[in-house]
Amino acid sequence: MMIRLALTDDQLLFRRGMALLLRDMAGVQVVLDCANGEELLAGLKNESVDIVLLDLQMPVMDGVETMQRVRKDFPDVKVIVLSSHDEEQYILHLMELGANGYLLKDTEPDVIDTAIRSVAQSGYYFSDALNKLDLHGLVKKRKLTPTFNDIDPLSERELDVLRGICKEFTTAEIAEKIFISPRTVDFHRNNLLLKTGARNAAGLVVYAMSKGLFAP
Amino acid sequence: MSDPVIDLTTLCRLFKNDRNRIQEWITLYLAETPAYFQQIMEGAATNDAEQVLRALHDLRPMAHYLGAPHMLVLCDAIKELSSASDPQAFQESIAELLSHAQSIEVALNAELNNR
Repeated sequence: MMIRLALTDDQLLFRRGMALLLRDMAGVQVVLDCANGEELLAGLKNESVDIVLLDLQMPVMDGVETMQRVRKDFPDVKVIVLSSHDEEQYILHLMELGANGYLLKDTEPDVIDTAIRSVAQSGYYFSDALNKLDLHGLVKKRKLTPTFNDIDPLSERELDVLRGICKEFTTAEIAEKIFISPRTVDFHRNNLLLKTGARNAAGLVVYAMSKGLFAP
Repeated sequence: MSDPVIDLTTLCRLFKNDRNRIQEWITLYLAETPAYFQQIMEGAATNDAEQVLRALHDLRPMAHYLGAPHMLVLCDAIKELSSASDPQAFQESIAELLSHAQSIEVALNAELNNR
């Protein structure tokens, strides 16, 4: 399935540069190219879009207001914020407002590719930088609503490993607590990633929280 | 021998050695960035640090994708100096950035002409 993107950034150079980078990505198509939030909202009325790559600092209508309007008027459209700000509080605030992902503007194309596919499939993307943020709080407040496909049920052992990951235990610590080898923990962790569609430990935590499998 | 002002392997990696897209990107950079440097120059002339920082904010990701590490260093230095009480160092760093940008422009034009 083709993932249809809208690029929204007031910088022509960045927009065109990003379009050039995205041109190479299989299954991804830029269908809207907008200089501000107002242009985006007008475009979304006529064009079917899966994901918006959204800058924050724009004239006419900035990224924060745009995201709120997209959330309200086009709830099926997902938003990945592209920003130069890497302060944790800033990122958290945007995630609380409903961003499905957050990328820095100098992110490598491979990571952008991963983020787009992750948001299309699971409804969210967390970079490594976001792993340490307050994901628990976001899920608890229901600000983050990932979607997971129907999956095979998790085994008791996988649930043990998942709870260990949620408690931020290391592989060695999980292994020691449930009396299996670190290698077996890794095996179960890989199964968890495969079954849930999560891309990393942060995704597994979100999964566990949203399914009521773990409460901090 | 001094380091080259840009590391072209960065663009080659980003665009998977697609010469057409590299050329398109360089052309775009050469067309669009003078406006940012103009903003920086005007901001420096009027001691408007906000204006300088806004332009740097937009320029920085492009310097990263371009493979211009020294430009990145200068962008960060100017940002830091904007909040320090050393206007002379601030102005000197801006002058160095503008001069460096000219060297990059020469290198990129040479690259375009070589293709």
